[in-house]
Amino acid sequence: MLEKDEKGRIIMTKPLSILLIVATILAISAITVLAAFLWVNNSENGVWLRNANNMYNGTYYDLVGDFLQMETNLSKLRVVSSSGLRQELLLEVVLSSQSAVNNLSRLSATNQNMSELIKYTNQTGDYCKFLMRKLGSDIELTDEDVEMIGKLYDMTYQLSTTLASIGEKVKGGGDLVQGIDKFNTSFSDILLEFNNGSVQYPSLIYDGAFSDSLVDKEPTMVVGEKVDPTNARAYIVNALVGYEIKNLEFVAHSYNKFTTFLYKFETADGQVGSIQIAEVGGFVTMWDIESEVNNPQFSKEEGLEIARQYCNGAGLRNMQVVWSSISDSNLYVNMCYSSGGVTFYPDMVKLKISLQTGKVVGYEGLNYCYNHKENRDNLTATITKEQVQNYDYKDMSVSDIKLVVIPTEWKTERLVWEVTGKLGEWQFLVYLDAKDGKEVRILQVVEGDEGNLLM
Amino acid sequence: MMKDQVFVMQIVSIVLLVVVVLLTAVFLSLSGNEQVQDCAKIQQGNSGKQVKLIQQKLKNWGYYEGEIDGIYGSGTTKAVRKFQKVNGLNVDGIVGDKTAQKMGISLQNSSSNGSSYNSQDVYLLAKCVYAESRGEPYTGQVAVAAVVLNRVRSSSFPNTIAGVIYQPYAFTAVADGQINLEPNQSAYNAVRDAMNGWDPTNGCLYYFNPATATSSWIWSREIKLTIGKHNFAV
Repeated sequence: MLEKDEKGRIIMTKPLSILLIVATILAISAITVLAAFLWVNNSENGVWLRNANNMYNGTYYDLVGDFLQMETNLSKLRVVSSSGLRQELLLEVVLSSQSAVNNLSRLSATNQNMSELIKYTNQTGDYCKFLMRKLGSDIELTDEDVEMIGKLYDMTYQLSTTLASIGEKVKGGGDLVQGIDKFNTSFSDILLEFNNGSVQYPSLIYDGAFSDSLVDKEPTMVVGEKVDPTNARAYIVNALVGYEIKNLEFVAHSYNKFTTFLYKFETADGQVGSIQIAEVGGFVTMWDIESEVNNPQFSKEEGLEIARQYCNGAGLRNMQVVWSSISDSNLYVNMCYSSGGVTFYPDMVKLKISLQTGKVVGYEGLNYCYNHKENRDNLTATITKEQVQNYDYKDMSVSDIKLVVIPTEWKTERLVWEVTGKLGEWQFLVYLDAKDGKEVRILQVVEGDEGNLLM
Repeated sequence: MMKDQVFVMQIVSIVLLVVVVLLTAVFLSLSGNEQVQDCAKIQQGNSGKQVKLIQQKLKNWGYYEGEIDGIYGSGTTKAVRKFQKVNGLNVDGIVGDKTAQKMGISLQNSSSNGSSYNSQDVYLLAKCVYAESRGEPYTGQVAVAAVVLNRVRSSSFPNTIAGVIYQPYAFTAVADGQINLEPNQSAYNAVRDAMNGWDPTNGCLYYFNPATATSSWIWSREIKLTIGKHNFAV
């Protein structure tokens, strides 16, 4: 590799010289390519940053427009009195509020004040939707409704003005992201003033039509003796019909409307799952095993039969299949309590059945836990099945009619006729009030690769 | 003489090493931007609308005698194999691009299927679950998916799954780009369970890892449950 010349100096041999030259060329090439790549990448980042900034700015200006629309239409609602025009304006407020929520969710929200603004906007839209339905049912708005519209207008006006002022403040080179972050506090102050004032806005809306949680409801199945975490095994074994439990391990308490215990279990054949039971009464609210089906061996009908047998075995009596859908060869089945020819949708449990093993691999019973009652009052239908059959369904061909109880947005229950039918390839479920025959709800079955979806 | 030789050899080795490292870095950086797309395929274990379509076609042509139930079981596999053999295709019982083309159907990757609103939501939510909770117990993954769905239902959050997931500062995995990782089967399973009503959190709207949470605000939330490394709160 190295040698000495006549004068004793160290010189490189020819192969070493070539190797070094090649290495140097490669190194220079690599550095050049890397530099070029970094330059291109940085300039791409610049483009992305500008695009993101433009989208952000666009979202802000759309939001200002949405609030202006809400403000204007709420303002108009204070003076019109015809039902048709009121519905038209309320619809405009609903649409603007939906767009505003979408835009708000894309803006910066480094603290929680923005979520208050989202909540206000959602609630305003919900309230207007509620009033629209009221007018659609031929019920006039009350003085209180109109007064509330006026208050919502005042509120929206303040928020709209504050929002628009951010744009004014950042004119001439300011930053909208920082501007909005800074004004988060202002939104919060306005909303706080509104909520702490004389207006009982949230309760007015959320105690009524659009209550968004189960907090005001007492679970009907959480009764009886307290279950100790150490003796819960019996309840768990009873729920896990068809499994031999090898290991059972307490994981955690869950404190919500009622306390539940979460356990991890392992079956004799090595499957691992989790199960939750109520501290009072030991009702099982859910259990689940991860299930991947590679070789389905059971048909849908066989899966439904397995679901029925599970309910019988787990002590859930008179349960009827009301819905099923297959997703990756797991069959999801909804089953409801049925009594006296009436199916009770509020008393629902959901089951997941592996079409490979033919076993139930999941159960969810929270709705049943909250709602199930053996007997209910006022279950007399004034409208007969024959009258329902003769109803005008346009071109829909009816395949089934049955009497059901459905939950309402008011956390009450309603006796209705459920009419199943098809229009072309689309399946529909139409619900008619059992007392006056009015259409109260319509659902469409949408078939997709992830199973069937009700919309 | 020997010392000099070793010294020069060391220099040459270092130069070559640097070259290799640089070239590897450049290659990796450039290839990192490429999106590798898996070809869509339907096989045993799948179910849904496309499976129904395949079964219907195979039945019409006399290859399949079973039920048109949308479940790709052994009967469907057998029929596909027969179809492939007759048509000179690779006989593997899987409907890939070539088999689908021969059947006259267009395959769509279910994870990016634009025709189904639900498929998109499942995919997006599975990405979020995988990015946020891979390595967590299965129930913990279902719980993360359930929190996203609880937010969609809550008036304090956006009204769509995409809106909730991409809400600025809502999820660490979105902010740091982990959301773009491809989800595994476990994440999909967890999402399907949550979408079908399983909610181990009973309505929680937040979760955080107490070991890594940097926001002091999150500790003001009422913790309802702990699964794996996550505290779930309202």
